[in-house]
Amino acid sequence: MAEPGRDLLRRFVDGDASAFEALFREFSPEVFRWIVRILRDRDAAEDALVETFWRAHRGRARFDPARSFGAWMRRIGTHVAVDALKRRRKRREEQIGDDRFTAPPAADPHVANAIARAVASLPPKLQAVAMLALVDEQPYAEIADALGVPIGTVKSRVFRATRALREQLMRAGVRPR
Amino acid sequence: MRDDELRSLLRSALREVDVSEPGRDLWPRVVQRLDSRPVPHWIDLVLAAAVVTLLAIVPQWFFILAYHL
Repeated sequence: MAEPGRDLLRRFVDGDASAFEALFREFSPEVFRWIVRILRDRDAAEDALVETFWRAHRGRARFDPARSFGAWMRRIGTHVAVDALKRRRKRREEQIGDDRFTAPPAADPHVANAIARAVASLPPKLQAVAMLALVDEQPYAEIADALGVPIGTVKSRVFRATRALREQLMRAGVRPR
Repeated sequence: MRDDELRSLLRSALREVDVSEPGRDLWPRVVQRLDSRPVPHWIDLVLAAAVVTLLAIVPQWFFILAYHL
């Protein structure tokens, strides 16, 4: 996506509401797509998108207009999504229940439930990386940029997520077809 | 289970998610969020109450506190 002009970004940093709205209109679809890939739930992603732009507005003084606005927003969105995963995990631990990782009806219910449970049991940061790298096949460099970590950290998280998922699925008796 | 088998299992079992744009305009919600006053955290309230109580009991500590702020 094309980067907005420096003037627009400078006005946003200075607190201009119309500049902020213009940036929202331009970047919210892309940020939403990124968040929904992590959360896999459109309603939760809408809440996270609102939170993302609120945080961006609150922290606008820290934004350098010489840098990529899209990358900055994606990074904030990733942090908001990981926070949402933490809250979801807490709710799950409190046994309120969570069906965000439910499987499509056509899938084998035993396998589907085992996979949903295995994914939901991952720590939120591993869960986010697993969704982006393993399910959506996003490039490691993009994931690293969005998380604000080196590519090596992403590789390490993918490795740990893969190992944890494999162990859980083997324990549950799930075998590849 | 190989890595590619695991990936394939995940993709086949996890619910497909629609990544198209939100179906409604979320800008009004962003504006509403910006206009809402932040609710102070209970820890901040307890700290503020503790400082006020402390200063009421030992007013001469005001200068020590002011020096450290």
